[in-house]
Amino acid sequence: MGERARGPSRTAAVTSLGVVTAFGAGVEAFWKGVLGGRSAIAPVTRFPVSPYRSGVAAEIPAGDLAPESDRLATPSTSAMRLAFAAARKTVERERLPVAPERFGLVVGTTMGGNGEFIDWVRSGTAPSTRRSDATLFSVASALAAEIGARGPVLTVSAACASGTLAVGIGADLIRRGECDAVLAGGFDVLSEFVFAGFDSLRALSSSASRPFDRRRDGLTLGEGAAFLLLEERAGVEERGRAPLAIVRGYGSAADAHHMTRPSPSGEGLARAVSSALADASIGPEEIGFVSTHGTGTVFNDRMEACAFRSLFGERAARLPANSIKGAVGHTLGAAGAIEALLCALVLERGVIPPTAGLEEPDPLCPLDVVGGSPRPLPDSVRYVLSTSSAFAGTNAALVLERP
Amino acid sequence: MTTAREVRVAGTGLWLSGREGGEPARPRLPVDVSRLRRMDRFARAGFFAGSLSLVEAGIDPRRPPDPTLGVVFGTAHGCRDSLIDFTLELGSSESVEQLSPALFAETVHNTVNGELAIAWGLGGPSETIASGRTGGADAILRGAELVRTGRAAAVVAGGAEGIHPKAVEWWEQERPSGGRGSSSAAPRDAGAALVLADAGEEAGAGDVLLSSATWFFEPDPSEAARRAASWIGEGLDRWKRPLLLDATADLGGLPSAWECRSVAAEFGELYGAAGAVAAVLAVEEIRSGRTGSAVVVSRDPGGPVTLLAFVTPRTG
Repeated sequence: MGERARGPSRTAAVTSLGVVTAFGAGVEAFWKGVLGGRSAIAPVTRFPVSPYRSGVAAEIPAGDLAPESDRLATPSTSAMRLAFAAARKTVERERLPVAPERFGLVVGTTMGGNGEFIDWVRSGTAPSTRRSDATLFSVASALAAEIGARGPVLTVSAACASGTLAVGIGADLIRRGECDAVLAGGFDVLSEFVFAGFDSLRALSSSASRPFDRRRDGLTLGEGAAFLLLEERAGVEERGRAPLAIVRGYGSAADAHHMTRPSPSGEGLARAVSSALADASIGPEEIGFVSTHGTGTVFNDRMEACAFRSLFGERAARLPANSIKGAVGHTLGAAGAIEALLCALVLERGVIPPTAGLEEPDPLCPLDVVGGSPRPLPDSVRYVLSTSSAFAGTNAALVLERP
Repeated sequence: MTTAREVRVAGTGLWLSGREGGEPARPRLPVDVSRLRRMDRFARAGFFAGSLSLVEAGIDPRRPPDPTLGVVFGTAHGCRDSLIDFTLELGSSESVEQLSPALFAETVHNTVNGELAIAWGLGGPSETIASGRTGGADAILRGAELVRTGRAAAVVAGGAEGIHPKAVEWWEQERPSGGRGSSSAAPRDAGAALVLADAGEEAGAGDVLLSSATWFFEPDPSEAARRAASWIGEGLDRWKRPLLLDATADLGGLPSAWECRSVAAEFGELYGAAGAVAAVLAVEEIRSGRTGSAVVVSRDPGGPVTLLAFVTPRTG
């Protein structure tokens, strides 16, 4: 990679977190679940699974979604209710001293509000929601109106890298001076459409997924939403508040290899990480933990191991890493946002949650994947890395820093 | 305000289906096009537009992938074409073995990024923005940022939309009610792209620069028009008398004294490709000498607004 402009003087600080997963709503429910090494994966209840090779997923209890209210479109879509539930746990607008024109929103998703659109196509009957709500970008527009954001409002949709891109682009908006605060994150709702699609690719595990385990046989789908409130650091500290973490670097890169299979060498992911490290102005030796994409498919996990070996060399075998997809499933457009949120919690709380489902580490993935029980994060670690890889070959990486 | 003073337009590409939906003649491209048969309307429109812009920019296909070349594409509905087809297949199949994994693989909205990256060896930054009708303009703004900040030496950035017959049915039921330059023509497949590159120390007199850009959210149309007019007004000293390219016919409150070309009236409903089509036309207008500057105005009824200002170094 050539020499590039270094980081601007403004800093994107993480000041608040909100998350909804199959463990329930809220940061503590999520943290308790992943820290305990539990899996929220269970038999699917939302649609019949008899036609499929798998019958499990990580579903969110209906009670953990935002209630329909007069501030939402009526009746609201399931996607809106999920995204709003996480967003409302992240930001209290009245406590955020930022002008509407300086407040942005970046949302990552693979399906957006298209679930209702699919229902309409499949049933041939009129949708129960307004058609304009059943689009990719409808959730962001509704959410922006709810939280009073009048700066840039973007929907990012790059398959399973969407959430990571959203946080990275959100941090850019702060760092380049376009916004003083950005709500950045992602969401996706479990649907039969996606379940059937991944099964047609023979990508689903018959049981809960086991990332980096020798016996892994595929991924397990989940659903979720997570948001990070990003603010310009100086303004936060002027108010006497301490950031939870800093988004120090962001990078993306195309595999340029295949639409569904990752590049076996992991070179696209390695380019994305290298770009994020350059953006953070640090070297790979300064990374002390990696939140991997870790889907539990044979190809993905091996690709990541190759990428991390090329980036970190022999140290990859001693660098703590984990995957949360055996716990909350693969939440697609939400995954990168949930994992960025996890990284902020790891830095704040000094503990690395274990990888649910990992019992026999795959010798062909020679990484130090944390399994079994939590592991302390040494105080000396200042930077952690979160990565995502997606269909169509999009890779993305974030570097988060201990404030 | 976002400034991108040193980003020049190195190439443009435009791909529009006919009014009745027929595809234009396929250009000869210096890349493997065997994957075209797997692409849906959205992916084809973006692939052709992006490829044409790369040809015009004189960029050859790269092997191994070049980490300095990026791709950013925008859309409103993305792969809805494949999404509809896979949904119909799901409804008519009795077992998962009857479903097409290749079709499901096309139901992500970053397929244009993936296809262009594979064909051309674009190994640099890759982002996909799906913010409704501003998607294409958003992608150009974001692509310029990636160049300006040194993350890429060049980025192919644009917008694409593919229109399934069911989407036309949708449009017929929610036909726009009208407005300045609004179109009654049905939606059509469209792709448009710019190759944005570092202008270096001194831009040539024949260059077109993406001089400034901004984006904001304003669901109230009159307030959106006020903010857009204010932003354009701030740049008038530099841009003199810019030609406005109204991509989406949704900002009727702009001052009527400003010369305006309505993309929607000329080309019909282009959804997320509209801003990128308008950007290509803006560059053509400046290159032809008909104007020294042009501002693309793009808005989605949901609230997003994106403005792009193009100039030639001759301006001012």
